[in-house]
Amino acid sequence: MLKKLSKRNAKRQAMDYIIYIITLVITVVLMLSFNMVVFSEEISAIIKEPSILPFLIVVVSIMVVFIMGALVNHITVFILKRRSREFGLYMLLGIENEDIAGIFLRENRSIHGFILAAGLFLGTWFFQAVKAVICGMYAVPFSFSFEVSAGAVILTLFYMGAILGISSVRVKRAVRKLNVRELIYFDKAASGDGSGEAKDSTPMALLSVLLGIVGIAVMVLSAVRNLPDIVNVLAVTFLVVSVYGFFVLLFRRLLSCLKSDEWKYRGSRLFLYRQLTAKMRSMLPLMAGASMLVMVALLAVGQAICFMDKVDSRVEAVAFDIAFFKDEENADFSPYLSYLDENHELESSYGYSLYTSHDDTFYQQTKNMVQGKMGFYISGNDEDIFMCISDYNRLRDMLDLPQVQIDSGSYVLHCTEPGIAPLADYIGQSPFLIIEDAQYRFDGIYSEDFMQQESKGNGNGVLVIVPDRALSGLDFHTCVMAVDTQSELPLSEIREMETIGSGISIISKTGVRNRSASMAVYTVFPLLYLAFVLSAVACTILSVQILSEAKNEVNSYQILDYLGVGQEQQKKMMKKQVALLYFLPVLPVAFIDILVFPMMTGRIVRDAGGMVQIISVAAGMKQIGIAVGLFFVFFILYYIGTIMLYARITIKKR
Amino acid sequence: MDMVLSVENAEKYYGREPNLKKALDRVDFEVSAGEFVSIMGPSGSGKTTLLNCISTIDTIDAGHIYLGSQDLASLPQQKSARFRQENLGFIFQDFNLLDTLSIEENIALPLAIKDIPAKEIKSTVRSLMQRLGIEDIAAKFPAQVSGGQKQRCACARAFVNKPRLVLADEPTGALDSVSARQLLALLTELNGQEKATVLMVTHDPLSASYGNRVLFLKDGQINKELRRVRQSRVDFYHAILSEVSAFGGAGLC
Ligand SMILES: Nc1ncnc2c1ncn2[C@@H]1O[C@H](COP(=O)(O)OP(=O)(O)OP(=O)(O)O)[C@@H](O)[C@H]1O
Ligand SMILES: [Mg+2]
Repeated sequence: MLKKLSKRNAKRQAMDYIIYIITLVITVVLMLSFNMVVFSEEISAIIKEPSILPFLIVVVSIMVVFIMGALVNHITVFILKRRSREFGLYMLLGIENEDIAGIFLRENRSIHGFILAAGLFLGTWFFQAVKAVICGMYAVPFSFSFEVSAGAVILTLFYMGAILGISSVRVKRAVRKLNVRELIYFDKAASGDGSGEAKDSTPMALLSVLLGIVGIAVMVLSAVRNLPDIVNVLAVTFLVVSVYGFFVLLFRRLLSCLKSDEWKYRGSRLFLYRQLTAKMRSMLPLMAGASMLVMVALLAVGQAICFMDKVDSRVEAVAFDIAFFKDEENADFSPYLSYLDENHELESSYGYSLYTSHDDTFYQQTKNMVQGKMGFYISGNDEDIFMCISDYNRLRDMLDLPQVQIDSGSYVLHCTEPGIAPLADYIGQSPFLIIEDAQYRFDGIYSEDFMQQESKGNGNGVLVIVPDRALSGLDFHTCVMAVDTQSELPLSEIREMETIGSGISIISKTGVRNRSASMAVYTVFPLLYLAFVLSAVACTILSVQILSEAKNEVNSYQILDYLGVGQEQQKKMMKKQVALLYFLPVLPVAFIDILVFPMMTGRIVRDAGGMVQIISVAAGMKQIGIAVGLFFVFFILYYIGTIMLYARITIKKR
Repeated sequence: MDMVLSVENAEKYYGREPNLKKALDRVDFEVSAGEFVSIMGPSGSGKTTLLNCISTIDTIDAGHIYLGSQDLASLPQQKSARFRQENLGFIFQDFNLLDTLSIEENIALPLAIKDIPAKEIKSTVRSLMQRLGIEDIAAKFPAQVSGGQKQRCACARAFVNKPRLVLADEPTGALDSVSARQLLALLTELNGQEKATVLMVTHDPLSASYGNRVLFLKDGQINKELRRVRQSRVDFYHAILSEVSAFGGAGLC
């Protein structure tokens, strides 16, 4: 009998908390597919190198266990409260606490069983999408092949067990302590927003908004000069905290608006905003919490996309399809060229030498601008590197770049984009270059992609191009063979060429893509994983809260019926109301993000005249676009689900 | 006198065969302007159903209901809301007020919905609250006032937009006798002053005696009508009482 009752309740309950259940399913899906990334043999065949990815995914998974554990706990207590009357009745009928806890847990168990089954099933499919993204980043063709790894499934079950198990223990303890009186009056709550007696939290709110402003200021400052990471983390924390203040102040503002008759007595406004403030009173911490989660999530997605973007741009920066380096004058690269010739139609190649003055003046100018800011900048070279103008023009020709003319008394620079401003600054002070008593005048600066960011290349961020005759005053540095091929080489061929001889370094687009894709994958996947879980949690908290209150509002909408508000208009009001509750938390996040993103992704530089300017903001904007877009879709889906259920409860149930 | 409401052979069914339930059975009556009519009958006799059909919330299956010259059957669903806004006022036993709105805002709501200018709303609501003696609780929320005060507020809301017909479903049902009397006195007063016609469902003979006519409903049929003609309220009350006991009094409460 009790079992039957329990089963029926579980079914009914499932409809009420469908959004919560979906969120848990999504969590299982994400957990499984990310764990499969770690365990998959296919993926490890693509990534090849030993990586820290498994470690990062485990770290994020543990964070997810804590976050989801908190959510499950929150919702379970919530459900318990909502069903307190029913349980109180059981107690009155003489059913023991133990048995009631048993009923509740049995119901939960069957729901959890469903969640795990659905999640595991969908997760194996979602993994294919994850795999497709990884293949895309490594430029490896994607093939659909089904694989399920026992390890990933077991690990996922272990994490979910931790999430769900802890809440079960807590429920058991909570129910054991309950008494009838408490249960029956559990859901009695006064309504109205009780604007009068609320304690004044305005000073706290103002303080936290102030923190937010400090946070933004720090972010701006950190873009101009390199601040330690801890300061940036602190700034982000301040921003997150300031969200709370935003909500308190907004709430106060709404309440004071509602004091004005002119403002409130206008159509459905009165009803809408009173509903809103009444809900905000109980939901304020939840909304602020959701907002904070979304903020962290959005920052994470922004970072992730930023990394993903860098893969392509770094590959582009290599400029030549493949290049061979040897520290030996007149090195012989012919075995490599013939290998390439056999396998691909070798398109063009050019051999040249790089020289050095054993000085590092130019390098020092650019060094600080390029390092940090996730620039993927790794090199052992710290000397100024020189090239003669004829080699330079031959290489430019290979890259389809226009020729550069200099006269015998001048020189030009070629650098990566961030280097332009500091170099221009330096040249403004000392425009002449001296090589062996001869003076060379500065004659221009170029910044096209020119293989200047890798461990070997045409200088480390900066290259000095001098007239051919100036080479006699410089020392030999490296012999280089730059090659253009018909298509991007597969990684396996690069590996094969590495075995041909010794003392040779190979820089190739393929190799760079592979290495930077790995780095991007390490950052992108854990961050995305975290971001989606965080926003799913935020949406769920909001939805469950909104829907649970919907039941108490059936009467309100019925009264509106009688007062002559049509159903269509009621639906409109509902949509507006839920939209407000749902999207308010996104508002401060969007605002802060629009301020912070360009700072994080763009670069502020000082040009020759000392003017500050922000560069590559456009890229930052694109990232906001994508990040916000992703979230928008995510939120919209949850919103639509919520509004549908809300309407079902408040309108259709009458 | 001109007719405010006329119900002609109204029939209403719930469910379908074999569980068909006839909730209203050829109900036929008229209410003229300014009347205060009570409807009495045992539980399940169809009182609420009748009220809901008159209030355009529900529809009848046969017969006609005219409000003024408007035939409710020919009133399209989309227009019924607007029709309620303009012609009807409601008071119920419970779920009368919106918990999230203050007392004053609750009363103002029907006017705000009709897009009346805020200044006008303010003055109308203020003066009505003064007349009903509830201006001191204007800023409170329903959860903070007594049941009697709540019903007076509901009463004010029902009359605030000067409806042609006020429908009340057991407005005193949840009140103690003192509060109930106060409310009924108020209803009578507003009925007189505002020239609003009142149709009230009740199963309390005392409440019914405040009106000038009582209709007795049983199994969906009107089977008796009492009029108060040059009678004191107390006499009318006794007349109702005796009718109720003849009717089978036990079924009434
Ligand atoms: N929505 C409905 N569906 C089916 N049957 C209904 C519905 N509403 C009412 N009924 C039935 O119609 C009959 C009349 O109900 P109604 O609510 O009008 O009674 P009432 O006179 O208001 O009773 P009470 O004094 O208890 O409020 C009852 O038998 C009831 O069971
Ligand atoms: Mg009834």
